[in-house]
Amino acid sequence: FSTFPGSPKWRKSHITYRIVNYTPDLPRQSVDSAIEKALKVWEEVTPLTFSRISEGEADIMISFAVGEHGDFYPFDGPGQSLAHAYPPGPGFYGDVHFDDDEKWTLAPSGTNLFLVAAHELGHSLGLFHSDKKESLMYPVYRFSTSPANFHLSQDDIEGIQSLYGAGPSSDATVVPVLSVSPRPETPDKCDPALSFDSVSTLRGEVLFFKDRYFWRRSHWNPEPEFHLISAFWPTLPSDLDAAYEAHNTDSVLIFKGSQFWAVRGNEVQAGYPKGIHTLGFPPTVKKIDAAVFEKEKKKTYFFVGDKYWRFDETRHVMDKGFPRQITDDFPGIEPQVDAVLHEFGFFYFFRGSSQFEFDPNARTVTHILKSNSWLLC
Amino acid sequence: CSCAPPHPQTAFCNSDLVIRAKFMGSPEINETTLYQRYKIKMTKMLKGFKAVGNAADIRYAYTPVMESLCGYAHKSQNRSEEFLITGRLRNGNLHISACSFLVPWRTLSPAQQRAFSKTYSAGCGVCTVFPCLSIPCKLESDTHCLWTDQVLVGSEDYQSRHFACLPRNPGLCTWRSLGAR
Repeated sequence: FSTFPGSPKWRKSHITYRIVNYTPDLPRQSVDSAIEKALKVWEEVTPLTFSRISEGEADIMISFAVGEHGDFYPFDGPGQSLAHAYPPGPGFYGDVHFDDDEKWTLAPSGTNLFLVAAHELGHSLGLFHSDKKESLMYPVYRFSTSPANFHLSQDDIEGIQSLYGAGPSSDATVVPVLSVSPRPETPDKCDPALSFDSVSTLRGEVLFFKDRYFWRRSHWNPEPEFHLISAFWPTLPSDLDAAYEAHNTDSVLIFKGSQFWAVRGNEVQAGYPKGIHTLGFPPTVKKIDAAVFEKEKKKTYFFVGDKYWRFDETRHVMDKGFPRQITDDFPGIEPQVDAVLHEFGFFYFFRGSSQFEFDPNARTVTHILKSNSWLLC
Repeated sequence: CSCAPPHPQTAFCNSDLVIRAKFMGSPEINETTLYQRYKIKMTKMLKGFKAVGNAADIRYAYTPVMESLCGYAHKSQNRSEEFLITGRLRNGNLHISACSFLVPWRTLSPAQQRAFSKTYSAGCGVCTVFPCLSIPCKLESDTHCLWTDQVLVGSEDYQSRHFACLPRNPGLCTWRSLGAR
């Protein structure tokens, strides 16, 4: 993140705003609520509060305009610049202008007013552009997610808190806002203590699941992307137990508790979730720790506690003779694994912040790595 | 300042001026207007002959000081590096912004360099590069070409680096490979 030169900021915690005029693209109430939600994004992580006034001079005056509009900075028709804003201060400072030659929407198509407003209001509060692509303050518009699922990146939060400090902490005060559960922290891919909930491949990429998020690593882009699970698969839960790609059906099977889902690309398949017992697990198995598919043999290994099962993906049944002890067949691997990945002929077992590279031919652990070694730290 | 994702062809068509130039140092700031101007040395004009004349020499590029007002901040210190600059003409001056398509000339593929010199102009006013910002998206007209680099992560702008949206038949535009031309 970065702040304006001299780090201008509001010297008060209560800030007023006024919506001076409206775009013909959207109903007025939709504009009102998009702006309100955009302010809430910042309100949630700072001590700042906002209230709307309907006349007179507010700290943040919000307007829609085309071309020349009374400042030195005319808009440029459709495309290119979508909106601009002034840093904190008196008069026109703090104000936000939207280019009304854009098609403003609340949908993924067109230009989403909420996302642009949240970015511009970041300027109004004192944030400059960030060069981190995943941050809200990155200058190029990108439709990331709907307002309901939107979250600031860690970079945005650190930026705004460097100016105003953190918000009233959730344990000290009762905050009567929408969120019911306290927001878990965004995991940091380079945290040396990072562990994963599950790991799976997907059409040549590798997905590392953690809480509500996952990192996506592809061969052609060494920098992993970070996403909300719900942004790709809105109906999937968070805190997954296990995941694996069944290459023969081009699907990823995702496990949590006694249920599992099948996804293809970004579609959750119809008929799911199903119970894990339909795969042939005994009733004593309440959840799966980890799962991995071995392409060459078309077998899936399911790890549960100190045991593992082998599933035949061609015949769709559990193989006879299972479960077996993990330590008998994977010497060096301790029970209770978090996740397993099969790549380059090796099995990679994830357990807490450690990762064990296992050579199935030599039946031995060949390397011990940090779990996040795949995430380019 | 929020910018629409910049497609080179759209930038070419929407610009009054497209030039190749070198940046000659730090900008001068006008404290009244809060504009700054970068001294530049134009090496070639690619678009804008009609607007400024064949012999015109563009010596400054104007932009707001503040990035939140879409001011362009030049990061490179290298005075010998040549940049492709797309900009608007206002009161006879070249204006650039944070949203301008402005990149080192050498980072463009040879096909793209050719496109800026020649190919893109054939699509201007006829064909529209239509950005797909989220899936699903669909074409809204036969003269639109769907630009999917934003949603295909890892594409590394493959589409914008290798294709131009050009007329095929009257009323129809399609992506055409820049390489094969």
